[in-house]
Amino acid sequence: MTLLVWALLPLTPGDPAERTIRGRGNLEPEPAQVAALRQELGLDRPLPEQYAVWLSKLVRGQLGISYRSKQPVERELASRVAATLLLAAGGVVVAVAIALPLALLAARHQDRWPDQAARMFALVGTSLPSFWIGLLLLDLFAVRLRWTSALAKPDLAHLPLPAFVLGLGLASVLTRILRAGLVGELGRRYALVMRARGAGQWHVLVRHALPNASLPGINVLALGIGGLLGGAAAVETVFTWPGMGLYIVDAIGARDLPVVQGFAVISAGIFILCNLGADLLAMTVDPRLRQQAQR
Amino acid sequence: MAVSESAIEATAGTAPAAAPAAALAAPGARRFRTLRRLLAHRSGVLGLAGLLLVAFVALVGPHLTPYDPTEVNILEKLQPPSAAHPLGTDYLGRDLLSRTVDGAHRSLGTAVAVVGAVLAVSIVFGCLAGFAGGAVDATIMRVVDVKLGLPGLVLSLALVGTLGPSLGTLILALTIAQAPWYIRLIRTMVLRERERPYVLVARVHGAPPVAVVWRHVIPAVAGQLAVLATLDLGSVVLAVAGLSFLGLGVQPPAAEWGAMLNDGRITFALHPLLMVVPGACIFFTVLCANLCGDALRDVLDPTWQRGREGRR
Repeated sequence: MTLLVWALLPLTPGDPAERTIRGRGNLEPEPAQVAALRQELGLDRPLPEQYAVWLSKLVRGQLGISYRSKQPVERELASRVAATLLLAAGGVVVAVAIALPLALLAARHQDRWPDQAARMFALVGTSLPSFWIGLLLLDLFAVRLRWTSALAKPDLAHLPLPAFVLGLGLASVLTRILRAGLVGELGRRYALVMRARGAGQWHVLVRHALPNASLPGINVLALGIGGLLGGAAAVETVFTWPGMGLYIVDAIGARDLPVVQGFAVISAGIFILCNLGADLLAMTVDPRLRQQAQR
Repeated sequence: MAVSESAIEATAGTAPAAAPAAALAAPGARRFRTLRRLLAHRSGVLGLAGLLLVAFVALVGPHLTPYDPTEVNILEKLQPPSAAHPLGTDYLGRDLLSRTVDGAHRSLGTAVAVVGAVLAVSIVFGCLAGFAGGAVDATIMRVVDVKLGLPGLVLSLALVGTLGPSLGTLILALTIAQAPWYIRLIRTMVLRERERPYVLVARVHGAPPVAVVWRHVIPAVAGQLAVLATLDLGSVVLAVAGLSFLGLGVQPPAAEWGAMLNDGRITFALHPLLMVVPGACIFFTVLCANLCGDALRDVLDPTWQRGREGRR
């Protein structure tokens, strides 16, 4: 994994040292200047050694120096990671808050209008470009209604709109998966027996079918957070949310590679943690998985 | 991306059991049955018709547009819709209708190129891994696993960031981000196929492995791949437009819906059409692709019945 991310750097066309000097405003660098910088950045050493140096710094939490600002990447990214995590967390909350009731209603009234509506929502939600709906909503709420400011600060007051836009796609996928799971569970024999013994439809649905149906949902959620991290770039650009995504789009424009690398490393780390969290959550939901793990 | 991932899992779970056997029995009859069923699927027909419409516009449209989509005419900038410019003009005086039509060509074309590249790459590597086994298999799958550890869009962003934004990089980045899922899936399908008696018979007859894969294994898995590719087309169109919107894909002055949307946002308050039109085009295309993919999945599902479309 780290090798893959690191390999991005030597893959780039052109000489990074030369590009760095150009990036700092000197358009006609002298060969001596380039050579000096190559030495400074350690680019004159063999590739395996460069990788080893990069990796050992990574272990100590250092992601290199930004070409543009000459600041350590980890410091540049730290505050932005927090903003993006806040946004992603908001997106997840929105997704669950929409998907859970919608899927329950759809499964309860299978094939009737709530089900149709949920399916419609899932279809539209996966088809809407987030940056488009984001811009339209921004215009509606910030420009026409003046409920919120178009320039977002990364705090809870400004969170709802970007979080809604970011979470919409995930909500659609989640609705679909949960609804399919719930309908499948309701068709199983235990649900029929419970109904026969006089348990209410909602009781069976929420107490018994939902825990069984939530496992694939948890997996989708963990994978979805990965999607949110990438999708955040567009949403953050629309709402000028000062997170990692907005920063990375800038950095790509300026070809600031250590920042791009740092972004990939941090995203991968968050993604792996999310999957780990999902596995642990699945274990608390499903006793069978717990027993398996103990063996 | 999460859409496609769940879709892959869903399709992988249901279809394979019955599909290859039926394909073996009567490939021709089966193909027509799929088509007949698809035509009986209400939302599927709608999606297919919409998609064909966009494809038609993309192929024929650029030859019919009244203006050059990149022709700048600063004197006629930001005009409201008129007889000369049915949708008005953008901030450089370029005709919006011409740009939208030309954008169909680029947006859909790029997405189709990505899906095609993903299929080509993953068929080669998937078959190689599944058929060769051993060290080749282990190496390919290790690389795939590593790629799967990074979220697709993040990987695309990192690749575009490294190689520099351009149309070629965009296609390459999205292909690399998407292919691992397919490679893993195709490998699984190939592993299942290669244990079947007909493959054994073919090999006993002395057919070289490449011929076995080409003549027998690929046709057997082609149906499922077509469903997956259609299901993915929508999300790829979204990804292409999204990256172009960020300035990381199709470069100006070329007309592409995502990039046009980004141009239009500056003047949105006064000239909403400039942003609404390309956005609506993206939405429509993705919607149709998703409808089509869902319908195909329903139709190829062995437990599908007429009149119960979309219930799964």
